[in-house]
Amino acid sequence: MSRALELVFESAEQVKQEETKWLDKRYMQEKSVISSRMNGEVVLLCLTSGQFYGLGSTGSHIWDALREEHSIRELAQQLQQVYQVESDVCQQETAAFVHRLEQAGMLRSACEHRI
Amino acid sequence: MFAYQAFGLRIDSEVELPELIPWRQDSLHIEDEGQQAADLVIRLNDEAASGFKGRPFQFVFGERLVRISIPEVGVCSMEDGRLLQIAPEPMNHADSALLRMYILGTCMGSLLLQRGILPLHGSVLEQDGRAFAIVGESGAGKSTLAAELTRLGCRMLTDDVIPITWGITGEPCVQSTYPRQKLWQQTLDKLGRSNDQLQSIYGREQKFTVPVEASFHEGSLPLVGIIELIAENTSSDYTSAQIELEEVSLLERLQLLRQHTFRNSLLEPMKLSRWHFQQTVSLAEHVPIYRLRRGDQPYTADLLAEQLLLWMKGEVSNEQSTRAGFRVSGAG
Repeated sequence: MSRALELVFESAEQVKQEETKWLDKRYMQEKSVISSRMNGEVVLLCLTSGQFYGLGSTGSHIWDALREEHSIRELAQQLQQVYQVESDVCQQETAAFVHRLEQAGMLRSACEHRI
Repeated sequence: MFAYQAFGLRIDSEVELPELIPWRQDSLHIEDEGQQAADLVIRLNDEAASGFKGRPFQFVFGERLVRISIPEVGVCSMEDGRLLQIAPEPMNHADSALLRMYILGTCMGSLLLQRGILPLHGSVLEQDGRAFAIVGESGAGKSTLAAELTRLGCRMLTDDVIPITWGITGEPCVQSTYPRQKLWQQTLDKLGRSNDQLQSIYGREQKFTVPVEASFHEGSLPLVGIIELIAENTSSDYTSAQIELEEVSLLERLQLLRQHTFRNSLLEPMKLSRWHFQQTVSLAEHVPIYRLRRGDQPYTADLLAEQLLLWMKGEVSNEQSTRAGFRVSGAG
């Protein structure tokens, strides 16, 4: 019984660590992506794939910030200063957007830094 | 040395280029007193091939230099947008037409890129002092549609390379090139022209270069619309009774402009990807772009030209259909 409880406790600890990992993983614009502004919003061309992307206003904000290395936690904090969103929701949505950019080869992730 | 004006440039050439309009003192460089230097010089020079090891039709890139070897023509060396040197292969008579075709196409395209002038691929027509470009894949019917539009009174600025420059207020302009059209035999038949006096384009016996001096607009005009012509298969749901001119979204415009940039494979090796992206973003912001689908019926170009001209004159507005079934729709 106590052993089972221990296991649950351990995995909860793991989940917490995983959470910290994804929140603090750091990202930056990939060099092979060129960007410009078209009618106020960021447009991207990925030179390796030849694909074009258009970002909305929030996406443009995140992209501009990622000229320098940032974690999702930091990005979400910046966005919360501009938009009225709950912290959890903001982090999740930022993460979803960043992961989409990463999967499309637009971002590179730096080594994970633990706080 | 021959002197010409074309592509918005004064071109001095050792090779005679009868397609081009001779340079006139009063025409292009009014602000300059006295001797006006050429913007571009074309020379025959065997040195152009020295040390060249490229395979046929392979571009080789150097510092501000692009070279290519073209079988039956020679090695062409494009330098800094100002100098084209050709080390010619021993020529027989027929090859001089081929040489001119490459000078006015591939070589001019590369030289314009070196000068920071965006070259698109297609035809440009003038209506009421405004320029409309028609782009499309090879075989889409650009030149045929352009010919029909000139028959209806539009003047032509170019029929192959489209040099895009920027006016003093930041508006995109088209520079005229030279008064020639490339047409298929069937189009000539339709237009009631004989091919007796015309020059067959090398290796394309059924396609001819047609002088169009009478309906040529010389100089530059503001570009107000780009139309991508698409030939549809009859297997699609499209029916020829409906011709749709559909405005293209901003993001799609970038893809379309890249696709229809003349010799776009040169952009990356010439390190012009960023520059080109900026150019196309500015162009996409300034100029509406439309997609025009046509059926592959034997000949619909005259109907298409007629309807398109109504739209160019501003007589068909968005979300409207003409009686002929021509419809214009905005970008979603």
